[in-house]
Amino acid sequence: MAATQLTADLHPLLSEYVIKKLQKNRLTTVYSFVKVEVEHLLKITNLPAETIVLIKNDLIERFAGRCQTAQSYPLQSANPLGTGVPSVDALLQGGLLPGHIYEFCGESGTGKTLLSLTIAANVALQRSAAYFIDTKCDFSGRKIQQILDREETGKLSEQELGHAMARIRVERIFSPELLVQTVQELAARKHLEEETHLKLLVIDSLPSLWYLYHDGNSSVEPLGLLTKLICSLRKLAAQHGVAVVLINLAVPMVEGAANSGTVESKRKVCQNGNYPALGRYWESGPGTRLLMSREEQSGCVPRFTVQVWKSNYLRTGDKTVIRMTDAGVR
Amino acid sequence: MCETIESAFITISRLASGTELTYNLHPVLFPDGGLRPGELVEISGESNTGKSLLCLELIARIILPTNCGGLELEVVLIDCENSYSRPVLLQIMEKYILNEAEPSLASALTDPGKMESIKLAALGRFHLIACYSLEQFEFSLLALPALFALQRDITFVLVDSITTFYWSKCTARKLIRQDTYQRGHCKALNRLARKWKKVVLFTKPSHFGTRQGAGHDFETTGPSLDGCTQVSSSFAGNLTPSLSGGMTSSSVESSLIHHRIELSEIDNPSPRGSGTEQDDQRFNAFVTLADRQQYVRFYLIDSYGMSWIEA
Repeated sequence: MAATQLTADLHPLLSEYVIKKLQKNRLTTVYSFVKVEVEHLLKITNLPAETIVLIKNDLIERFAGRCQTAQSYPLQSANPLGTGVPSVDALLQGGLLPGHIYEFCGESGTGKTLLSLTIAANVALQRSAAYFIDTKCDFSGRKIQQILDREETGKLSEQELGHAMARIRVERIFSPELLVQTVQELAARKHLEEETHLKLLVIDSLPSLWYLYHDGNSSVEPLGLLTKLICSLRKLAAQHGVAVVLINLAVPMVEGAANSGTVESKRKVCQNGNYPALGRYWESGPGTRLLMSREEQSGCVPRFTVQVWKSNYLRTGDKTVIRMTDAGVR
Repeated sequence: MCETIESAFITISRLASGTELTYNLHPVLFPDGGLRPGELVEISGESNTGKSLLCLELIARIILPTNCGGLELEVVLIDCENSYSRPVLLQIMEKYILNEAEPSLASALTDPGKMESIKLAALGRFHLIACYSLEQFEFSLLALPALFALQRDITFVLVDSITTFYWSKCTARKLIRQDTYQRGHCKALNRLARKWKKVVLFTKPSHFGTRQGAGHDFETTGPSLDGCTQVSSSFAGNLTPSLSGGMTSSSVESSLIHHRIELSEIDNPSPRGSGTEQDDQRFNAFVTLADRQQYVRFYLIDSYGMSWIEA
């Protein structure tokens, strides 16, 4: 994240003249200004010491994170967001918690997109808004309609169907930078649009964007963007009570792939030797990671399971079975 | 006649160290006496071994009143990973209140309102700063002294975690090694702890900054589409088994960090999910104190937080 530049409009006591003098001494960011000793700033700016200390304290207070006691910390709605799939709701102890970040990871064809479509449709049915970011052109309005049509015991009227579908906003994004920018805007813009009742954000999927970097020379840029993404997602989730669902791949562990003889530290793998993509940094990104897998059964329909891989409030290892149907996941 | 004879050097260093105050923060983790003001503690471990949970456990012990086994002091948590969860903290506090309430209090606990008021009062002693960017984090550290002056009872500072924003700091234009980044923050936290006489604890993932090869932090080795492992393994830390993990850190750091707690999962020999009854995952905490004492403690994670297993 670029450090904030020092400009005259940050503080009434900072004039253009002072800014120019600071820039001559290579103090261009707010952080560099507050880190430098007062005596040094005295010499550069010729401002009185009390003024400098006052400006510093004001800037620190403005840019630091807000400190609140847990007592007065805004109580997020503890009502979990129902997913519409009873077995998944049971696994999640009620549903998706607003303010929490979830990840569905699994191999292709394990039902991640279908599950996220089912959840989005269900959120729309409950009269909340959902935002679906589609990076693979997998979103299908038709599928949403099928899911919505079968959900209610009675059929929805045309109008209700239209309203529900209007509550799901879909955006196609094909570059990681644009994704990060969109999420940052969502986190910032929410202040203005309180009527939208955005409760769910789905990003399907992350590896399809980040694999664009795989033939680059260094992993600094993609990881920097991943950091920005997860931090903006956390801000959106915590400050606006949004449940975030991310879709990731589970990739096989490549044996003996470590370079220059160093030993790859043991990564936790699931039963078939897969682990979540996007690297070690991403392991601790989402608060809860659900592994979706498909077990082929001889002569029968394959069995789809959802298992808790890691979570800070669910029990690791809990699993449940889901079914793929035309009307979404059941 | 004096009872003991000690050299002038020892006398002066004893007097200069200020009060002999120690905080009995966690009798299982720190059995002999506890932590002194000015000390820095590192909590490391792989993902999902309970580092953030341990932070919440420690916070509960700090903020609860003394008649419930707590220290009745104030604490600041700098939360970079969105790991603070109010329901989990309330659950942990309830566990401690029920287990450790003094007899005089225990009888009053049958009234649910009493439990709620204890918890609410305790939450007033817990200061939370959420940071969503590197800049916000750095400024929050600078803002701590003003907070200390305002709230004099703050005795502990927890940071979860210090590595969250590493990739924001390490850009293609300005590379910085993981251990350099960590050392910088450890120094700053150490200074803060010593100057303001607080106890500072921080978490970090164990794979961070422990890379043996020099200078290969940032390159990839041309990964295949399926092998995102390549992207990660070239910069990720490699870790010798956790027992010696703490010792391979540079000696400079060992003088900055007074105590280390390394959390790791014990590999379950029975295959997971095969039986109908799932065993709780077992973990161990490997503690290294400033005076080179080392010991292991075992725990489970259940719906009430961490549950320590008597050896």
